[in-house]
Amino acid sequence: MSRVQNNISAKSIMVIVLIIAVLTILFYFGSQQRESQIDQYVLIHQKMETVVLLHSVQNEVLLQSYSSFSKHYDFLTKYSHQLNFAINDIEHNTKIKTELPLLLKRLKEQANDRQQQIERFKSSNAILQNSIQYLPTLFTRVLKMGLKRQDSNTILHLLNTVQSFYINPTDQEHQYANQIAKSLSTLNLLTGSSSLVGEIKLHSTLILKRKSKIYQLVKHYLEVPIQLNITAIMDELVRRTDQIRWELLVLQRILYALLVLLMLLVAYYIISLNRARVLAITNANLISNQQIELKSKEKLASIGEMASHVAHEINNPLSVIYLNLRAVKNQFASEKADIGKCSSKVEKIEDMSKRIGKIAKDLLAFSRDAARDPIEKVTVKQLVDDTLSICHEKFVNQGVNLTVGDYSTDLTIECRAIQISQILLNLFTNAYDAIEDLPTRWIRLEVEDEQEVIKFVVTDCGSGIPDEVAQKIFNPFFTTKVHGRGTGLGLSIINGIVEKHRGKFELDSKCQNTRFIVTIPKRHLATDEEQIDSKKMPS
Amino acid sequence: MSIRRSILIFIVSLLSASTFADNFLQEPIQLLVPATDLDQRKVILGDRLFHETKLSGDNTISCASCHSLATGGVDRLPFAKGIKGQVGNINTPTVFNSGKNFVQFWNGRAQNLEEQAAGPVHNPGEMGSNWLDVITKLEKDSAYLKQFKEIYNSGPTGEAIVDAIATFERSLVTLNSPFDQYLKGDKDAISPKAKKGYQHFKSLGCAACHQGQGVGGNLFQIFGVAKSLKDSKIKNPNDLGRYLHTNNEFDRYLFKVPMLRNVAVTAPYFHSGQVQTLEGAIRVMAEFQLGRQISDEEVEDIAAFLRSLTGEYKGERLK
Repeated sequence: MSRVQNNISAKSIMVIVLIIAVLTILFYFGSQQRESQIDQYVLIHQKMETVVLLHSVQNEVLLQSYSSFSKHYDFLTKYSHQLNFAINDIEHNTKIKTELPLLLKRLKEQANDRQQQIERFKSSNAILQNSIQYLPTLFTRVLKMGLKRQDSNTILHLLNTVQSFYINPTDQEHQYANQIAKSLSTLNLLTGSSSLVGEIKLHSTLILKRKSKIYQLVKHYLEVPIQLNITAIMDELVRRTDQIRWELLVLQRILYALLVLLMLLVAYYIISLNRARVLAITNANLISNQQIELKSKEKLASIGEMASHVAHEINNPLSVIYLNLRAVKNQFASEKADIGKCSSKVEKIEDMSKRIGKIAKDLLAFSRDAARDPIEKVTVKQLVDDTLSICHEKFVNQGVNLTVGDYSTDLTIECRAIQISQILLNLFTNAYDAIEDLPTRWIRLEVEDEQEVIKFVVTDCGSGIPDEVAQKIFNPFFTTKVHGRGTGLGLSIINGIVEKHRGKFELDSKCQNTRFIVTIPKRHLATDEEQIDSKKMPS
Repeated sequence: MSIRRSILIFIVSLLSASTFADNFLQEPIQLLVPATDLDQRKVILGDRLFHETKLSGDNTISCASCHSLATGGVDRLPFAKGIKGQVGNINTPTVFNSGKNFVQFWNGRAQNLEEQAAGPVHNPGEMGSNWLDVITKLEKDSAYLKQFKEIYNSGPTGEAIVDAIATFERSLVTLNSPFDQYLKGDKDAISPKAKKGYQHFKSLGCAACHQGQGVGGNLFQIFGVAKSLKDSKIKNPNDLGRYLHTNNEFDRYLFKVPMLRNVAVTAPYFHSGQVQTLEGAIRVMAEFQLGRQISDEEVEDIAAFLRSLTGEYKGERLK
């Protein structure tokens, strides 16, 4: 029962360990993901810092071009290109599903918007620069033409108006436009150099239009709320990074807790496994100790049983001896002692003494532990005879007909003779106990020679063993005998001995009567235990 | 971080410019500097691909067919010739210094050289091919396979091909022109006529557009600021310029301002290729862009200045 409980708790521990292991792995990957996200955010943050820098440089370079400080657009082109590249780089390499992509998309749109203003600025500014540079030349040419004072004043006033608009562009472009248009209409009246008038007209118009255009473009450029967006992105980055850092911290703590729990559980599992093993070993030891104890008890029981046989066996020859001794004594007492008669009596006494000696020897042999006996080659006949000599008397007296089938007398077997005798004796005793109450009682032993093995078949007149009992009879301590008669170890002792001889012990359920078959190999095959023992021997 | 460093250098140079009143930064035309950080293996591979006729559908023309490095990086024809004798409708821009252009093609429809390089390969009127065919042909050449494997760790791909070609093209910077030597401080590097021409170039307003390292190539401009192209002899189907690409009203007649580096060896001129001489081109510009009349002397001076912009390739002045 406790073993079953152990199994259940071991299983549930395994399941819990597995679940925690899976959780640990999940949390591990979760924290790994967070870490890579943080790396990503830090990288984006670095790139954004570059964007911020480039953005301010772009502003500055544009204003330098606007104020004619810079005479070329290489820097403007270069840094605008780098800014767009940096923004695209961030946008393409960001795989985070938050509102960040939206902000970045807006940033890109804003940058593109600003880029468009810059491109238009460059075009318009080039035209403006050309025309504004031409103004002094136009002044000179007008003066050189020798126009009427009033006309030249009109023209110079026109050019001055254009210049003042260039220097201080206002939203009142129309006012200037009107003024210039008025002046131009008076110029049309001049019949002088029409090409000069055309050029003045062209460049004045160009300056007016382009300057206000540029003014609008730069205003538009500066009013793109890119700075706000950049700040929003930086804030978002910091906020997200902080959030993920916090998540990571929590995840890592949980992960550590899980790991500790996992280790504790594994340790507990190992300890409990170990304890179960120790318990199993102790139990096994206990059982085997009990078995040993019971085995010897069984042996004692059979010795007790045998003692009565033996007493019987000894009593008979003893009374023969006694009777013969008295006859011899009487012969000696009479004066005409018949030597011939005496010697036959003495021979009988000798025979009987020998017989008693043999019985004593057999008893001695049986009572000691035969398990350590050496394997020896004996004839089957001797084995059978030895066994029968112990119990024959009892069976005869109780009216049990014990017969032995025919077999070759020179059949030999390598075994521990005492143990095989013990098997047969146990089987006979069992059979006897089973058939005790039957009207006709017989037990038959047959010895079958089958090439490599010898089969000892013990059949009695019983009507077999019911199936439900047959399943249990080989279990130790199982017995059907009346309380006190048997220990329930008989068959398991037989089993043990047969196993040591690498043989087979079975109940022949096909037979109508009760029949046990013991199969023992003719040549002894050493068991593992014996091999180990034999190796230990030299030391 | 190279960007940061260059920005820092820029800021420092601005400071020094204002402090020491260095004239150099005040000049609209800047010294031409070579491209840096180019992978020389790519340059070598790109050189071979640039001259590879397998890039065209019928194996007759290569990039170099129109952009011959021996003739100023152009074909010196009004319009480019494609496969099977097809004649295009726009003048070939030079490949020299093309890496310095802020966008590619006359109308700026390609953002960079990589985008540009793929264009003619697929144009049926030019090389009339596609990557699949080109790659199939290139894969038969073990030397190519080895080069691509070494550089890109793959076989030839469209991306790798244009990358190599673009890298090669970026290496085509024509340094050491007489004018650059003049900018560096060698006052006798250019003739007095050219010096006068440079002054005209600045004062007449040419330098409003043609400025920077490339003497142009860093902005768009309307062709016909002062006078419409409509009735001119340089009229061309492509006159609408960038508008044909963007359909944006603002882009009508808008073109990329071409660089004037090596302009003396890249006649005929303009997108229509209808002007044969440098002097003619200067006059067209004065009329349509500047809106002013200039004297023959000024034209000759400016032409002399423009001739001083011709640089060197592999140690030899372009011809």
